[in-house]
Amino acid sequence: MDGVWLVPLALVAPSPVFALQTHGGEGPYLHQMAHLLFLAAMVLFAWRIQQSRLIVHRPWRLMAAGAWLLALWNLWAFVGHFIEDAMPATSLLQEPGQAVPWLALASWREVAYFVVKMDHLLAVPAIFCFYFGMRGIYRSIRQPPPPTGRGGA
Amino acid sequence: MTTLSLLPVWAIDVIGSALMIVGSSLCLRLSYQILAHDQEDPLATYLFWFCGALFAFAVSRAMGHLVRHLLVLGGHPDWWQGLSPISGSINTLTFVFIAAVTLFFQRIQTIIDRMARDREKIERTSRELLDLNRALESTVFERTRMEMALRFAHDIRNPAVIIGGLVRRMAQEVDRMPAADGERLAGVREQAKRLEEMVARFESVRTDAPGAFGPLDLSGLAEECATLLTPEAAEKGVAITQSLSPALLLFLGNARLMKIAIMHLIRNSIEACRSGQAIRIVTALTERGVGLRIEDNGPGIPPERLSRILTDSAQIDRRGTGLGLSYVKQIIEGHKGELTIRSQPGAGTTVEVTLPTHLGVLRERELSPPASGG
Repeated sequence: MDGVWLVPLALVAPSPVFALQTHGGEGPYLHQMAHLLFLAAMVLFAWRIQQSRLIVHRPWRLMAAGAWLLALWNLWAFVGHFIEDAMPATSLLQEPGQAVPWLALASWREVAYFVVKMDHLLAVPAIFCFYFGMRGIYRSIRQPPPPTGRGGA
Repeated sequence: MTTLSLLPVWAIDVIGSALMIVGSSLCLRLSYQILAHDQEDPLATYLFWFCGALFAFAVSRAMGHLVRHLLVLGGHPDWWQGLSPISGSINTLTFVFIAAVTLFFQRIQTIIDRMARDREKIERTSRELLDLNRALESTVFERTRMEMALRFAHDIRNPAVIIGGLVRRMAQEVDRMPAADGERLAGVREQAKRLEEMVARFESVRTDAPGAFGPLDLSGLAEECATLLTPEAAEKGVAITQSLSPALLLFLGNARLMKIAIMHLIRNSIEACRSGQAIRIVTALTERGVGLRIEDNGPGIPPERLSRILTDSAQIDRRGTGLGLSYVKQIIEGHKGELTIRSQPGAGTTVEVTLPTHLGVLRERELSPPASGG
């Protein structure tokens, strides 16, 4: 009950509450920073596998390859977002009733946009590198261990 | 103006998104199976978390793309406008999640490398232990065989010699004996001779000992071990001096096992001592047998450790020099010897090894018991 005398004060002189931060356009920045963080993590992951004794095993080489591809994908997507933002909305042409829009190739931006939008050409191989790596690790633990080192997990 | 349909882009996007969901699901399933195989394996646990994060990333992104295409094709682009920030935020969160999981890989790798090193060390030590146990068993067997043979020879030698002597004297008077008695005497003489030959064969066991087990000079062994370890001690600034008996201190034993035991004792002293401290190695013929003494002016051993130092497999020093003093004691006792340790914190440590000069127990003369250990 100590602060009860503040209530009339607030009612008498209302003002903007500057202590509360409004969130506006930081979404794209956050997303791009997350891409860079993801990229750095994948590079570090791939590099650490290569520096370790795991690299002698094929499944782990596949895991490292997947990490490199995913790092490349992040770079691709990072650049792609900038290109997407730089491309004018008039470049996309869509007639009424047309399901798929068309791209007007007015400049290098539209061509780059067309290319970077096919980022799954990197992401899918990355995922399947991880899959084949994991499959190799799983198979190695089901077999008798080799005489030297670990065959997988 | 040239235009290009975005159909290939959309097709790749849709197919790619589906493949991302399939691929990441398969990865997650495999990681679960790997973890189920060994739930205590840190790498298996890590791979499960990694694939879980990968699955979250792939599915959130793929679902966002697929939902967008569905809504746009279904004529509800405005719905996508509302959903897009949420989808993008979830996607961003999965980037951070997968990055966080991946950054732990270094820690996991360190743990795995250390586990692999420890496993190799355990395997190496197990092989050495097995080797030593075999050598010890062989030594004990040979010693027991010799003891039994020599005891048998000792017990029947006198009666056999006496019988042989009496029979040979009687044989000198064979002309005065009836022929039948003479023949019987010849038979007894032949058996007496065989008995004497049997005694000789048993006594020859001592010289027929296999290469690994035979007469050894304690001073020679101590000098050899001290010479081998002097560079190691010098590197640490520890001096090794020797005061070896000029006389041969012979005992029967396995040279390899005794070297291992003596080197272990000297190495323990080296590891305990600091720069400037010294180790003295003394050999002498004692009242109880042949003796080896290793004295150092190191920090000494606390009483609570000294009482169990010869029974634990643990080392005096945490780094460890191999097998533990309990195995050294086993080797010495396998040679029918005794190992005692006396130590006081701040006053150094003295290790004494006493071995019988012949196969048999140490002379049972009462000595004042050691202050501790043994």
